[in-house]
This record gives sequence, C-alpha cells and structure tokens, in this order.
Amino acid sequence: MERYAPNAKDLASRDVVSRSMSIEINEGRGVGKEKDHVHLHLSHLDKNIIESRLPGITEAARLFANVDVTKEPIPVVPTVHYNMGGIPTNYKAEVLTVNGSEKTVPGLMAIGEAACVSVHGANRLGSNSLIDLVVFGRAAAMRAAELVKPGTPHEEVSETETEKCLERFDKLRNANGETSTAELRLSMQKIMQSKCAVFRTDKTLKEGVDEIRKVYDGMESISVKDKSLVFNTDLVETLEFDNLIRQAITTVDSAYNRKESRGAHAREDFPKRDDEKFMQHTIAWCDGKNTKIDYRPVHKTTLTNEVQYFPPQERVY
Amino acid sequence: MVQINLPENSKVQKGKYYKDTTGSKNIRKVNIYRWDPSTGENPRVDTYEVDMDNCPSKVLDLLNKIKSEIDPSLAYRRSCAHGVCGSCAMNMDGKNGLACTTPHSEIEGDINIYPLPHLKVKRDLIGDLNGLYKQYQSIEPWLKTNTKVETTEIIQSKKDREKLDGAYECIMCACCSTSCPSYWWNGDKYLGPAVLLQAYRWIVDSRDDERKERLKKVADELKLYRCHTIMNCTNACPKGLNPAKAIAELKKMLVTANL
Repeated sequence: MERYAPNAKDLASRDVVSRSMSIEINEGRGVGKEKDHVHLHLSHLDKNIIESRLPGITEAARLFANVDVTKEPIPVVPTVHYNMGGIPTNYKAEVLTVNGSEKTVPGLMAIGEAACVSVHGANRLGSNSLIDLVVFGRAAAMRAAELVKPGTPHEEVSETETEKCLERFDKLRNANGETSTAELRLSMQKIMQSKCAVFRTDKTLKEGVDEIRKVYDGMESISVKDKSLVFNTDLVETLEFDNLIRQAITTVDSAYNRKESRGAHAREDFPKRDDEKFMQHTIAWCDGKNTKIDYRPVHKTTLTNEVQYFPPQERVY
Repeated sequence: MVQINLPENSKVQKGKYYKDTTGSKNIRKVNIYRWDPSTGENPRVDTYEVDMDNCPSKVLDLLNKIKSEIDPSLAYRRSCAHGVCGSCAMNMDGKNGLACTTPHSEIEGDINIYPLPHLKVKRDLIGDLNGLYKQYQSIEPWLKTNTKVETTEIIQSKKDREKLDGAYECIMCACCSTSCPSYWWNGDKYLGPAVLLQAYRWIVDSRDDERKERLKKVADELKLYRCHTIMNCTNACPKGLNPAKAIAELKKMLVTANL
C-alpha cells in the first residue's frame, strides 16, 4: 500500500485501498490461480494483538479461507458492503423533499442504511453505521417525540393507497412467468459488479444503464413458485428484488450522470474532482425504469460556532 | 399420562424427489424437512440431488443453490452468511450449527437438514423463537445504572472488560438452547443456556449497578437449576463459547454471594 498511500498505507480510506487493490489485480499482479485477488498479511502483528483486537477477522479467515492469520496471508478482493446513497434526510432524520430546499415530508423519517444524512459525503468511512445507530437513531427518536403528541391517532390511510400495496403484493405473488427471481437477481448483481464497479467509465456506465433496464423488463416474466401465505421467502425475495432493481437503476443512472471522481465514485475518464459542477448531492426520482436526475446543494455552514466549515481539499494519504 | 406416539398430523412422511437435471457426475443427496401449516398436510422430507461441482463449501451455499436452481419454495432464514447474525441456525447431520459456517464436506453420506430441535416449526427449516426472545427480554439485557449523570461515558478497566470475553460474542442463534434436553423438557420455564449466558454477561459487567437484583432474579429452581450440566450447549455453540461454564459461574456466585 505504501506505493499508493505513502503515509497512511494500509490505513488509507476504504475507497483508496479498494482502488489500489483493483489496480494491482487489473495490471496482472493479482495472486491465485486466476490472479483475481490479492493477499493481506497480518503476520507482522503480535499474536496477542491479533487475538485481542482482530478476533472477527481471524475467525472469518479461518472459516472461509482456511487461513491462520498469524502465519499466512488472507486472500482478499474489494466488494460492495454498504450503500452510500439513500433517502435524503436532515440531521434529525426527517426526509427532505423538493430540490434545493430544506423542506421536509411531514411524518416521514429515515434512518440507518436506508437514509442518506450525508455525514461522509461520497465515502464510507470507519464507524459510519455506528453514527447511524448512536447519533441519528437518537436524533430520530428525539425528533419523533417532539413531533408526535401522545394519543394522536394515525391518519386515515386512503383506500387507493392500501389498494396499491395489495395490488403489488398480489401481482408478484401470482406471477407465473418463466424466469425465476434468483436468475434475474444474479443478472442484476453481475451487471452492477461489472458495469458500476470500483472503476467506471462513460462506456461501462452507459452499458450498465442499458443492460440494467433489460433486467427490469425481465420482471414482466418473473415467476413466484411459492404461493403460500406462511413465511413465503420466495415472495419476500421477489419483493426485495423489485426494490433492488429500482435501486440499481437509480445508482447506475446517478453514476453515469456524475462526470467527475469523488470519494468512492472513481471515473477513469474524469479522474479529478469537479467542485464547480458537482459539489452537490444527486437527487433521483425513480418511476419504474425511468429516472429523473437532479442536484441539491451541499451545506457550507456548520450548526454551531464552535467549529468552522472545512472546505474540501485534495485527498492525500 | 404420557403420549408415546407422535400425533397423527406430526408424522413425517416421505416427500418429493428432485432428480438431478445437470448430468453432473458429482451428486449428493440432500434430505430436507418440509412443512407448511397452511396446506394442512403432514411434514415431509424432500430429497434433492445436487451437483456438487458447482457448489461452494458451506451448507448455506447448498441451500441457496437448491432455492435458486431447484425449488424456490424452500424456506429458511439467512442473512449475513458469515457467522455473525445467527439467522441460519439449523440441525445438520444431527448436530445444531450455523449453515453458513458448516462445511458440507464434513458430513458423510446423505446430508440431512432439519429445523433446530424442539422448537415449534413455523415452516420448513424455520423454528419459532418467540419463547426464547421473551425469556431474553425477561433478563433485561441492557445496562442499568443508578447514577443520573448521563453526560460522560462509564469507564471500564481492561481487566473488567475481559470478564465479558466469552459472553459478548454470543449471537443468540439458539443452537445451544435447542440442543439441551432440559430445555426441551422445560423450555417454558427453564431459561436455557443462551439466555443464562446473557444473564451472566450483565451480572459480570462492572458498569452495571443491579448485579444483586439480577442474581436474585435468576436464582430459581426452574429458571436456573434445571441445568444439570449435560454440556450439550457448549458442544453445540458455533462460536466456540461455553454457556455451561457461565451457568456454573452463576450457581457459584449464588452460593458465595451475600444476597
């Protein structure tokens, strides 16, 4: 890693490490039969430190790679593990609507990986989920307590809304096509993995934009074999796929339109960050396979006077 | 007085046979318990012939392969796939464990997969864990302090933190409790190894102020003393923990503590 991040080395942020690993593999310096991964050495660390501070990694390496980390390197490859976008919210977990304003959707809140509070911008840094839990979980609870008066009844949900939900449920439950959910899901995974991966170009992203829609069209002939109303995991996975494919379309469209590199979004054709055009949040509206892409400005002020605003700098590790 | 035979509707029948369609030469037979209460039919054991040349190493991979390629109606819980969440606990080849960390190569002959023993089955490999969760709730698994100061963290020495080792790693998969004959018999009253390990985890936490109350609460003929040191729990734990030792510690504390 010192060739890529001379100071931080292995402790550089995840996107930097992922890119370094990908470059090594892409340039033919990978290891293994297919030269498709790299090795992570921990053996320079003291055995006690490994045991006390890295028990999870030690166990995973033993279970899945049959590796004793105190003696052998772990085979590793970059992969997706977190979704950095999400439903836009303010720091109180209230969902934001309408471009360019701080207007909230009354009664709608989002937290966790579903939400995008934009703490770490276009990156996933260490302890991101801890902040989601501890800070924004608490903020959401406090805001909800502020907004909801005890004893207030639920608002009447109109029948047209419940009908919509039941219609979606029934349509998928009774889907009698030829393609299994698992097949479509695998196509989606492969497209996202190859076209919207660590490194992106206009060409790969455009291919992704087109190909992911073919998978969406595949929903027309989806099949749900299990018709049971008890723990129907076939149906649950189909409903999940319906959510995921829309998420995938939104993700790849947003990436295609962002013609710069920022955080984990690395465009080979636009290697520089372009603050003039793109220091803003992508906001996407998704309607079936059609999306509308727009942008919302980022905050350039702090909430208190105790700290100053940090203007973005070149990231050097 | 004692019902010796299974009720008629509990008898497990021979189910469907799914023959291999890939033409693979490396086939294993996988027998899986199936039951859907909404059909009114008896439980059955379906048999799947699986092409092992294109199957990764764990039992969960095998189940995913069956669900994706042969029979999407097979129901089981799964989530993290690396031994952290505890969702895919089940009985494989007669032993409780996590499907995602159990290699199928360690099972000889046909691979028999059942839900965790002695739980009410919700469907197929999914057991009803509500009872266990209620018991977990009953030991109040959260930090209780008497101090009103909430603005600073409660410091814990390294030595005190080490007391939680072997307890905090528990993922509540229920492999231990459902392997325990005492829990099979008195599962409604005996807390079982999983919940007692958690009770122990809060009792030895140096930051908690209600140690005595917690101890008094578990000091019960049924809740705690139905443990007869059978040790199946420790044998079953997929995380290599020792619930039996924690229960022994609880018993020891009760003998020596001045409550």
